[in-house]
Amino acid sequence: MKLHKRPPTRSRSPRAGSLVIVGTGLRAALQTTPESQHEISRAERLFYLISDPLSERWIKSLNPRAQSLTSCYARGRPRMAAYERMVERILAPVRSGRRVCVAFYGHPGVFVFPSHAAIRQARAEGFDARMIPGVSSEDCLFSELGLDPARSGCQSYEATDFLVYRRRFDPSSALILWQVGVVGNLNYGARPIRSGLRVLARRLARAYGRRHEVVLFEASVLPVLPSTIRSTTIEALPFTKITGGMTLFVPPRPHAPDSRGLRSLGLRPSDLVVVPECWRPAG
Amino acid sequence: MSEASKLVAFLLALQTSPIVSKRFDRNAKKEMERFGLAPATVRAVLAQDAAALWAILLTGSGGHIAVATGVRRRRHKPKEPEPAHIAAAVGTPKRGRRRKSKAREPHQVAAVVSAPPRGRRRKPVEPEPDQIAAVVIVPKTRRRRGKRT
Repeated sequence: MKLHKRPPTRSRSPRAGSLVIVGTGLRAALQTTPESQHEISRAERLFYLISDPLSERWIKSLNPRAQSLTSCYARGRPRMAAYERMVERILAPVRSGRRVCVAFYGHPGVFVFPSHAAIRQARAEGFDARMIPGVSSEDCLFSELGLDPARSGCQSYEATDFLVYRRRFDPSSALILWQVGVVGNLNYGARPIRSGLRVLARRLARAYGRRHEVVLFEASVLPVLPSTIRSTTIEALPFTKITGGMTLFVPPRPHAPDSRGLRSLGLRPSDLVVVPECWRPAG
Repeated sequence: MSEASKLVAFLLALQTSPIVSKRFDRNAKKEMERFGLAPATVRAVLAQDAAALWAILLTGSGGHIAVATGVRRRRHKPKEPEPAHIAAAVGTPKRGRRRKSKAREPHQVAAVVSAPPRGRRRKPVEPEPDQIAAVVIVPKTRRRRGKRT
């Protein structure tokens, strides 16, 4: 029997530059992991995209070489064009052999296009690139509304994507819609547009009914302010005060367990633990 | 040091320093005064007034600073301006007529000071902390676009 040796492969050692993408959480310094802080401090080039002056100052105190990526945005222009500019700006020092770190607020991989695009591009060019997780807005929503995705499952969509692709969803499971404040508007610096909210409300009303209660949520980024939790109904949604950064939580419709499903697992309805709903805001 | 910088320094210390946090829990007002915050800012923090706090933070980076002229008569003493003074200072529409020269971008912020800032009146500068009497969000105004024939 003839043994075939594997052909020798060229060792692909990563090139000199490297890229680390980190998340600062919603409240920088408080929600930033020690691992992310370490990467921010040791980076030769640090870029950041942060929503508040507080976090910006903290980042600069950790690494004075920090540069903001906000200048890549242009008011009224498509966000995608800004993201492409960001990727190019991030990769330029990586190509010249620097250890680059980019800090995004929240989780760097959740609703952040340039982070994924930069990692993909860096890896394709043979550089070492990785992402470190952070605390996202959804994490804050789970803890502040008392929502447990284990109870009825959880579906999560970007609001415009939800409408444009007519996503199929299960009303008996919790639904989270991101960026409802700017539904239907793809430009940077967009203000809430009521027509998009009306379309969204119509779509939700068909599945849940017009009187179904929904919650608008926005995690606070300042330590002295509570998060915004605004309860309303689907029919009142287009008339509710809303900001660009708000997330919509649609509680599930009550749903009885399937008897065939229970039988197939050898379970009885009394075996199921019914956890009381606690997403309702206090007061 | 601007009021926005002082507020940022205070909030950052509150997030990162256990000592500041403990002192804030014990006597919030006193702790904020240690950082030299203006009375209007202290009130905004205690009332958890998100709009006012954001306005103070953003006035440090491009927001408008308007002068409520009606309050000036009181010898620079910080005093809450009347709604009419605020409306006049930030250029909101009055009796259905919009003053074009004072029109602002929608939802911009304005820190209303009780005394005119240093320097020339038409060139806003950062007000002294004790001059900030109120912070308002300028309501949405429509701006004419293009030539109307």
